[in-house]
Amino acid sequence: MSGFSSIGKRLLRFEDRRFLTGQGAYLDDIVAPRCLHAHFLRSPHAHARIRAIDAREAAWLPGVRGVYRGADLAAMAKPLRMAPPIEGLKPTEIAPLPVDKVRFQGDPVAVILADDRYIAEDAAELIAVDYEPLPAVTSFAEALSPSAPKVDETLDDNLVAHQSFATPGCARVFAEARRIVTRRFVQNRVTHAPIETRGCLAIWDEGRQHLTFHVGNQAPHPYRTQLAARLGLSESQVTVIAPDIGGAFGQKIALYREELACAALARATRRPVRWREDRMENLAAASHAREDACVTRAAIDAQGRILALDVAIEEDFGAYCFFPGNYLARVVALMTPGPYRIRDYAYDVRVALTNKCGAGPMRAPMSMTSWIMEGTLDAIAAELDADPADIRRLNMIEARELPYVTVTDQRLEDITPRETLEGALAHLDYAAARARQRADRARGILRGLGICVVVESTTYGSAFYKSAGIPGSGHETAVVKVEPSGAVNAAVGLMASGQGYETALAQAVAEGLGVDPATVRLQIGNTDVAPYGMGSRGARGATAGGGVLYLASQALGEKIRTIAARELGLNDIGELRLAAGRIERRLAGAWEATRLSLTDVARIAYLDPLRLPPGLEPGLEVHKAYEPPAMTFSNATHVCEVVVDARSGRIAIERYIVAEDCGTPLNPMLVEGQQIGAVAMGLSGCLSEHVVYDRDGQNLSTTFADYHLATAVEIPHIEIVPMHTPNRSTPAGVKGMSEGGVMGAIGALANAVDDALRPLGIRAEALPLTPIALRRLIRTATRRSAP
Amino acid sequence: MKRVPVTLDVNGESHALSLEPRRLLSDALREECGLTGVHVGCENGVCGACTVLIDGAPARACLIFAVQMQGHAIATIESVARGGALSPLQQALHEEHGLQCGFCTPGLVMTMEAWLKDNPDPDETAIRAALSGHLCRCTGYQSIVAAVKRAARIARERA
Amino acid sequence: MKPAPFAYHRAADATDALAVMAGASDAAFLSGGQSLAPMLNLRMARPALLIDLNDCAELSGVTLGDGGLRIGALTRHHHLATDATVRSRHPLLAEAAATIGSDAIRRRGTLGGSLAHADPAAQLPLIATLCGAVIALQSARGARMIEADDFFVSALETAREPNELVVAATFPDLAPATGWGLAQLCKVAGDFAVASAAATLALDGAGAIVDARLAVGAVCDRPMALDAAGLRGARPGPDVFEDFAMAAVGALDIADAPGIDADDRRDLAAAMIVEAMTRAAARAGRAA
Repeated sequence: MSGFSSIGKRLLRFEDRRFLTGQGAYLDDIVAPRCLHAHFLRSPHAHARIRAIDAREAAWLPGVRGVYRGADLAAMAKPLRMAPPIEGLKPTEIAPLPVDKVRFQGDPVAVILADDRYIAEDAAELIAVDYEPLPAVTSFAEALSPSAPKVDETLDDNLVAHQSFATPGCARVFAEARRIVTRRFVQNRVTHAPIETRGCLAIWDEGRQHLTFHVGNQAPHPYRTQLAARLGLSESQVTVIAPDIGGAFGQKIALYREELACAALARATRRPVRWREDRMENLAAASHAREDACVTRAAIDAQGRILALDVAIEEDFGAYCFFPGNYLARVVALMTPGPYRIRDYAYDVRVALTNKCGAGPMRAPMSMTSWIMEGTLDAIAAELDADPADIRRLNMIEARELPYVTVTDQRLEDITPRETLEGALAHLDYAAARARQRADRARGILRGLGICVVVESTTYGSAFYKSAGIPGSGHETAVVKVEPSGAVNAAVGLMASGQGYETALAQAVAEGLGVDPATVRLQIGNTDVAPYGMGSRGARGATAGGGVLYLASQALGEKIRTIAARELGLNDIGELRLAAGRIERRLAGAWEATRLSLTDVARIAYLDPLRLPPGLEPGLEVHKAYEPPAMTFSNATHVCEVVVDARSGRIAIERYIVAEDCGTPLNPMLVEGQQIGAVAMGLSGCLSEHVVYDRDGQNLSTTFADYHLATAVEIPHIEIVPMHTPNRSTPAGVKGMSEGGVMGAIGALANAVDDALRPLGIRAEALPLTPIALRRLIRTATRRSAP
Repeated sequence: MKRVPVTLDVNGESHALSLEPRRLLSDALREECGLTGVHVGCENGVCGACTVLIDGAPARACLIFAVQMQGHAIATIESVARGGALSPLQQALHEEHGLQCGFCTPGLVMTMEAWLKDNPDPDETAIRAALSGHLCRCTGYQSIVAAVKRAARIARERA
Repeated sequence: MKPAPFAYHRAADATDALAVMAGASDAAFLSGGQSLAPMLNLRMARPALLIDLNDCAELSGVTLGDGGLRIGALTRHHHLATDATVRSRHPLLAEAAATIGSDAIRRRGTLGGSLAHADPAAQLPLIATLCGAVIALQSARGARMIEADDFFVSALETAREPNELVVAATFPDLAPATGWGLAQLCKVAGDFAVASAAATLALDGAGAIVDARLAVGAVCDRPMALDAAGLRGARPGPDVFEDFAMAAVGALDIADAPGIDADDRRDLAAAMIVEAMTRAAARAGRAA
C-alpha cells in the first residue's frame, strides 16, 4: 500500500465546511419560482378496491391547483414493467398511481397540487374515496396459503419468485450424516430512515421541451433512462440533477411513483412541481427491507466439519416490486457459504408478495448472510460443546487455498478471513473474555461473546450480473479534465450521500495525475455533466468509481508527460512525473524540478496546440470506462461482548471490535467512518428498529416515536482494528466496503446474546432483540425450569 | 385562515412577516427567512435536525409556531461560524470526521454549542446522553462524541 | 404533517388566558407545546384557537411552601432538573425531569403541560402520583385543588375541565433520610418508557422499612400508586422486593397493547419496581 502520495492519506473532507455552516444545498433548499407543492392522499386500508374518488370539494379550496387520480396519471406516464428474464421470477407491473386497487396502507391514491403544503394537506382531508376493503395478507405464511387473497391479481398466486439449487451429492450427504444441526433465523422488517426524506423538484421548460428533475438519487443516469422512457421523452430531453443528499442507504435508487407523478404533472401544468415527503410517508410508504426468515441445516462430522449445508429462505417482499423480487434473497443464498469449505450445498429461496410497503435494497441488502452462516457455526459448536472460534478455524479456508471458488461459483481471492478472526480475538483477549464469562455464569450473570466473520461482496462487476441472471452492468465511467488554468475537473457516474466522495475520489484523481487533491473538483450528480455511470450502490464507489477515476487520471497524466517531454526535449516520459502540480525529472535516481508546471502544459494543450507532439489532440481530457472483476470482496471479523440483564431484558454491549480488511483505503478516516456507521446501522436494526404491521395490515410504526432508531446512548464505542491488504486485480488495490459492517453487527450481536442466554437453554431466533422479546424468552425458560 | 403579522429576530436580523398562525417556525425560518440550514427531519420533535436556539436555549423549530416567537431571539446554524471562522465545535467535527451526509449536523451543533457552555468538562456518558436527542443515520455517533470532547478541551484551554 | 388551521391568542397573564378560554368554544392552552405540537402536526388535535401561556410569568417558578414545593405550571423540565432548590428538596422530581425526552424538549416542556397531557408513561405524572402531589386548577369561575391520584383519570384524560388551567402543583417534601429511586425501561434513550416505577423508602435505625411508597407508570392507562403498607417492618432485599413487585403487579388491571401483551407489561413493571426499590434502599441506607 506504500508508494502512494494521495491515496491512503487521512485527509479531512473538502465538503465539510458547507455542511457545518448550514450551507449544504439539499433538495428542499432549491428554490423554484411559481412552484406548486404536491401532496399524496394515501390509502388508510391495507388492501381495498377503489370504487370512486370524489375530489370536487378539494379542488374548490383556494390555493388548490389540481387533484389527479390514478386514471389521470395513466394518461401521462407509462407503468413500470419488472420482467427481467430470470427463471423462477414472475413479471409484474406497477401503474404510475393505483387505479382500481390499493395494496398497502400508505399506497398513494391521488395527488393534490397546491400553492403550499399546508393547503395541500387541507385539501387531502376533503377528498372522498369510496373504498371496498379486501382481506389483507400480512405475513409470508398467509401469502402462500391456498385461500390467500391475491396481492397482485395479474399473478396466479403471491409467490413472486422461487429459485433453488443443490449440488448433485447434497441430498446423499444429508441422508448419510450422523449429525444434522438445524437453526432458524428471523429478521425484522426495517426501513432505511435517512434523516432527509425523499422528494423531488420537477421543472418543465415548455419552450425547449425539456425536463430538469432535481432528486436526491444514488444513480442519476439509470434513473434518467427510466424517467425519460416512462414519460415518453428522449434521454436528451431530461436532465437529472442530484443535489446534496441527506442519507440514502439504498432508498434513493428507484424511480418512485411520487416522483414520476411530479415529473408528469410539471409537464402537464407547465409549472414547477415539488414534493417533500414527510416522515410518516417515509416510514409508511417509501421502501422497507429485510423481512426474511431462514432455516439452515448443516450435516457435520464428529469434529464439527460441515459436510453439507442447506439453506431455506423466505422473504416477505411487500406489495410492489420496484426491484426484481428475487434480487436480495437469491444473493444471500449465493454468498452464505462465505469463507468456509462447503462442497455440498443446497438452497431454496421463496419470495412472497404481501399487503405491506414494497421492499428494496437497504445498506447490506444481504444483511442476513453472515448471521445465518455464523449462527449455524455457533449451533454446531453448541451441539458438540466446542469453542465457537475453534469450529470456525476448523471449517475456514486457508490462505494457501486461495483463490478459492465457492460452491456457488464465487471466486474468493485476496481475502484474509483467518487473519481478521485471529486479529479480532487477540484484540479482545478472547481467553480472558471466556474466563470473565465463566466467572459471571457462576454468579448467574448472563455474559455472552459473539463472533461474526464477514465476507462482504462488493463492487458487482458485469460478469456477476450476467452469471447470476440479473440484468445490469457493473462498469463505471469517468471524465478527467485539466482545464487551461491547470484546474482539475473530474466527473464520474456515481452520486454521494455522505460517503465523502469529494475528498476520497479527489485523492484517486490526484494520485493518478500527480496533483494536490485540494485542486481536484469532483463533478457528480448532474447527468448533463457527468458521464453515464451505474451510480452508487453495492459498495462499488471506491473500486468502480475510484478505480475508473484513477485509471483515467493516469492516462491523462501520460499525455501531460508526453507534452512535457517534448517541451523538455526528452524521449522517455518514464523519466518525468507530476508532483503537486509541477513536472519533475529523474536525474541520477533523484526527482528534480523542471521549469514546467501543469499549468504550462495545460496552456500549450489548449492554447498553443501546434506545439503538441505529433498525433496528440488539443486539450487535456480523458474519457474512460472500467469494468471491475466479477466480484471483489472485503472481509472482517466482528466480536461483541454483552451482558443481558436477566430481570429486565436489557442488553449492555461492553465491547465491540471489528478487525477488517477492505483493501487499499482511499482515505482511512473515511473508511473508518463507513465501518462505524455500518456497524451502528446493524446494531440499531438488531436492537430497536421494527416496522410493525398489525393483523389488518395497519402500520404501527410511522413516526420516529414508534420506529426507534438507536441513539448515541445505545450505540457502543466501536473498536476498529485495520488489517487492510490490497486486491491485486483492481486499480490501486481497492476492494470496496461499507455494507459488511451491517452484516457483521447483526451476526455478532445476535450470536453474543444467544451465547449469554445459553445457560438458560434458550436462544433468540427473531430480531429485534428488545427487552420485551428477551424477557419473554427468559421468562419462559425460567418457568420451564421451575420445580 | 387569516395571516397575522409577526417579526422574527433571527441571527440579529429582523424579519417582518405575515403568516398563518399554524406556520411552523421551521418552515418560516427556511422559506420566509431563507435559512435553509434549519433541516426538517420528522416534524415530531424526535430527530433534532431542526434544532435552533431560542434566547440561547435549544428548541425544536418543528414544535413551535413562528407566531409565538415575537420578542424572542432566534439563532440558527448560519450564525455559528463568526466572521467565517468555524467555532471550536464545528472545527472539531471537521477534524474528527463527525459528519457524513451532514443533514443532522446543524441541529446537533446548535444543541451542543449551548450544552458545552453549561458542561465545560463532560465525560463520554454525559456527552452521549446529551447527543441522544439527535438522530444520525450515518456516523454511529462515535466521531461526534470525539468531536464534542475535543471542542470542550479546546474551549477549556482557551479559557 | 402540517397542522390544520387555528387562531392564536398570546395571553398576557393567566387571567387573560382564562377569560379568553371562557369565551371560546373550541380552544386549547399551549404551554411548552412538546406534546401538543406533534399532535397538531399529525392533525390528531385540531382546536380552533390556541391560547399561548408562554408569557404568563406568574405561572412559572418554584416556591417553598408548607410541607412542600409549589411549582408553577409553566416551569420547564430543564428548570426542575437543574434548580438547586428542587435538587436538594425533591431530588426524585429533579431526576425524573432530567430523563424527559431530550435537552431541547426539556427546555420547552412544562410541568403543567405534562400533567395536563397525562401520558400514562410520562415521568412527572408518575412522580406526582407517587408523592401525592396536589394540583391547583383555575378557571374564570374559581380555583380548586385536586390530588394527583384523582386528577389522572385515564390515558390522556384528566379531571381538568376544558376551561380549567393547571396553574401549579405542590409536591410534598420527602421525609428526612428517605431514599428514592426511579427506574424506566425505554426502547431508546429519551423515548417514553415501556414500563416505569418510582419508589421512596424510609428505614428505622435497625434498617427495617418504616415507610414505603411505590408507583408504576406506562403499563396501565394512568400512573398507579401501589399499596405498600405491607412492606413496613420488612428488611430491604431482593427477595422482599421481588415478592412485593409480583404481588403488586398481579393486583393491577393491565391490558394487552400493540407489540406488548399484558404478561410482558406485568413482568417488566415488576422488574422496574424492583430496580426502583433497590435504588431507594441504597439511598435510604446512606441517608440513615
